[in-house]
Amino acid sequence: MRPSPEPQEPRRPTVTRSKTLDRVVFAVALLLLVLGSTRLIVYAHVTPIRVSVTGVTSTGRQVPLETPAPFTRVGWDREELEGAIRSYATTYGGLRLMAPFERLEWTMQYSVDSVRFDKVYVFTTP
Amino acid sequence: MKRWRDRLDRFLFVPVDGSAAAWFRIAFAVVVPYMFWSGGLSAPDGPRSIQRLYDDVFLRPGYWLLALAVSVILAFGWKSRVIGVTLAVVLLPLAFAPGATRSRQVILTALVAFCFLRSDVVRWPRFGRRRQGAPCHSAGPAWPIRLIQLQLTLLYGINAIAKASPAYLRGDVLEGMALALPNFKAEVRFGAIDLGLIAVPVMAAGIASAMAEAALSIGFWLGRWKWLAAFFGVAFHVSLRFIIDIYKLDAATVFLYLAFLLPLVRPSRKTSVTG
Repeated sequence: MRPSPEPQEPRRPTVTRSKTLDRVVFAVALLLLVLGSTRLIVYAHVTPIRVSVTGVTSTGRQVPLETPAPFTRVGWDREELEGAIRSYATTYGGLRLMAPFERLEWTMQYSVDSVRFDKVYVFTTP
Repeated sequence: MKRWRDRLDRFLFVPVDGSAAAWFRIAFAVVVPYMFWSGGLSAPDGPRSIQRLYDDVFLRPGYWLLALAVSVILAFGWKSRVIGVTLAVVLLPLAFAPGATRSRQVILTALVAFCFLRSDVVRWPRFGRRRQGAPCHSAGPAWPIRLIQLQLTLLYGINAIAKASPAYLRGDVLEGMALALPNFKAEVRFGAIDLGLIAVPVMAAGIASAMAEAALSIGFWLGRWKWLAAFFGVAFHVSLRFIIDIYKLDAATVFLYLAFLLPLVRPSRKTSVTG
C-alpha cells in the first residue's frame, strides 16, 4: 500500500502569476508608502505669528500703526501671510494706510512650537 | 531563514476572502464620492493652463458625477480591476486640489492597492459567516490588503513619532495651535483645554494624543484586540472633533479600519509547504 501523500497547502494566489514579482511590487509599494508617510504628519507643529506695522516717513521717523483687520488674528503660515500682506498693500486699504509714509515696515513676531513669540521677521512694502 | 520566508509568504499570500473583498469594494464605492466631493475645492498653484483645466473640468459638478457613476459601477462588481483603476485615474486630479488633500490622497492610495485584488469574484457579498462546505472564492493574495493595513499603521505611527517632541508633550504646540489655527475649536485658558464640563491640562492632552496615536498604530495588529483598537480609535476621533477640526482625515482614517475589521484575510494553515 502506498503511503498517503503529505498534506499540501493549497496553491497560494498571486496577482502577477509570479510570487517573486508580487514580492517586488509589494516591496516597491511599501517603500513608496514609507517615503510618502512624512506627508501624513498633521498638527504636530505650529508657528504662531503676530503681525504689527510701522509707517516710515521720508526722514526715517517710525510711526506705529494699527494692524489692519485681516492681520489682527494670530497667523500660522509665514509665507502665506507675507503674500497676503503684500497683496493687501496694493489694495485701496493698503494704499491709504501707506499714503502719509514712504514705506510700511511689517514685523512678524513668531515662535516655533510655542507661544513665546521670540523670533522676528521684518519686511517692507512696497 | 526558511521559517521567516514561510512566515512572510503566509503574511503576503494568504488568500483574500472574495465576499469580504466585495464588502470592501462596496465600501470604497460609498466613501469615494463623499471624500472627493469637489464643492469648496480650488485649483492648485501652477501654470495658468492647469488652473483653467481644474476650473473648467475637474472642479465642475459634472466631473464629480462622473466619479460617482464610476463608483456605482465599481459597487456592482463588474470588471472590478479595470473599473477600480479607471476610478483612481478619474480621482487623481481631485487628490491634488488644495483643501484637505491628505484625506483624499489616503483614500486614493488605498484604492490603488485594492485594485490589485479581483474583488469581482463575488458580485454580491453574503451576510454572516460562510457555511461549512460552501464554495470559497479567493479575490487574490493578501498583500494589497497588507499595504492598506500598513498605510494605517504608518499614518498613526508617523504622527505618534512627530508628536513625541518635547514641545508637543509639554502642550506648547497645542497652545500655539489654539492661538493660530482657525480650525482649532476648543479654547485654551490657563494652560488647559476648556471642553465645557472639564478642562484638560495641555500637557496631559499632548501626552494623551501622542500615546493614543502610538497605541492605534500597533493595536490593530494584535489579533482579537483589533476591535478594542477600532472602538478606541473611533472614540479618539470623535473626541478630537471637540478640539480640532481635521476635516475629512478622520473619516479617511476610520475607513481604513475596514482593512483590519472585515474578514478579508482567511486564517492560514500552518502546515509547511511541500513539493
